Amino acid sequence: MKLITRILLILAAGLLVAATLFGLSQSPTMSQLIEAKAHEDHGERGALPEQTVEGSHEEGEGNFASRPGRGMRGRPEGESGEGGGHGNWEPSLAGFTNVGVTLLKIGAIIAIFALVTRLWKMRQRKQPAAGGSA
Amino acid sequence: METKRTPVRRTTINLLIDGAMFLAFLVATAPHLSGLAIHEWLSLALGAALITHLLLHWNWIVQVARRFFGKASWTARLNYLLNSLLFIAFATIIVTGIMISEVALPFIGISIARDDFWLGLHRMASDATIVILGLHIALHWSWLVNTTRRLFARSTRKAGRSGATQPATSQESTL
Repeated sequence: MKLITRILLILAAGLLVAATLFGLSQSPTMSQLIEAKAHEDHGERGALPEQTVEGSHEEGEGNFASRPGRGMRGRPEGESGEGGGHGNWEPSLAGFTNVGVTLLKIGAIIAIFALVTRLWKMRQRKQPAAGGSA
Repeated sequence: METKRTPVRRTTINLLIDGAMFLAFLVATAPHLSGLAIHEWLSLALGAALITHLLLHWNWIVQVARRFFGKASWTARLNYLLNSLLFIAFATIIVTGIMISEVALPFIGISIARDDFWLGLHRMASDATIVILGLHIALHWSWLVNTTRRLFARSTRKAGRSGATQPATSQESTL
């Protein structure tokens, strides 16, 4: 393998690992998620009426506070947030469904492709036989 | 011996890189699972991995490009067209992703005004990529299965040899 390819490989692998680690460090931890969920539940039940989700996270400073105008991480305002278009992107285990759906889609495409190819090959095999008998 | 093993090693590296890229793609397509930060940084790294993937297959790309209107087989042509589409789709995802970045770009001090057009294009390109990637994997399915089988067969054989010291048999040449 060429030296440049090796260097590129190492760089790509390093980038992949570094990006994952950096992303992990930037995203909220599981304990933060649980804490935020607990806050949300309290707000919904009315157990702590003065402690709304917005109030408890210092007006947009925290990880889970609403950020009006951006709407990416703002949760209390609903799916899209105020002025935002991306919706709620907080990490959650429910996101596994997305992975499953993507895998299913790819699997279905592979299966359909395999079926079509098999049918095509069967047809190709039959054709020379028919030509030979004529 | 070494000359025989080199292509096998290269194929193994290809398989491992492709596997890692596929896993990274799966995670990147689920920002609800990973969160936005991982989604953005991982996707940028996936772009780098994509360039490496292209460089590893550069000879094939050049060869088929030269013979595209000549002696290339239909499978190679289909593969080439599909790979070109996949490249365009990935490039679109990366460019539009940068345009709507909320974590990665602000981190390096760049902030771009949000536009829903880029978001729409980003989603459209992502959906298209899933379909094209499915076809790409389907076209390489036999390579994928055979290489994985060889890889496992090699590791099993190695494990067997470590127990009993045997000379290289003719099976080696089938690799």
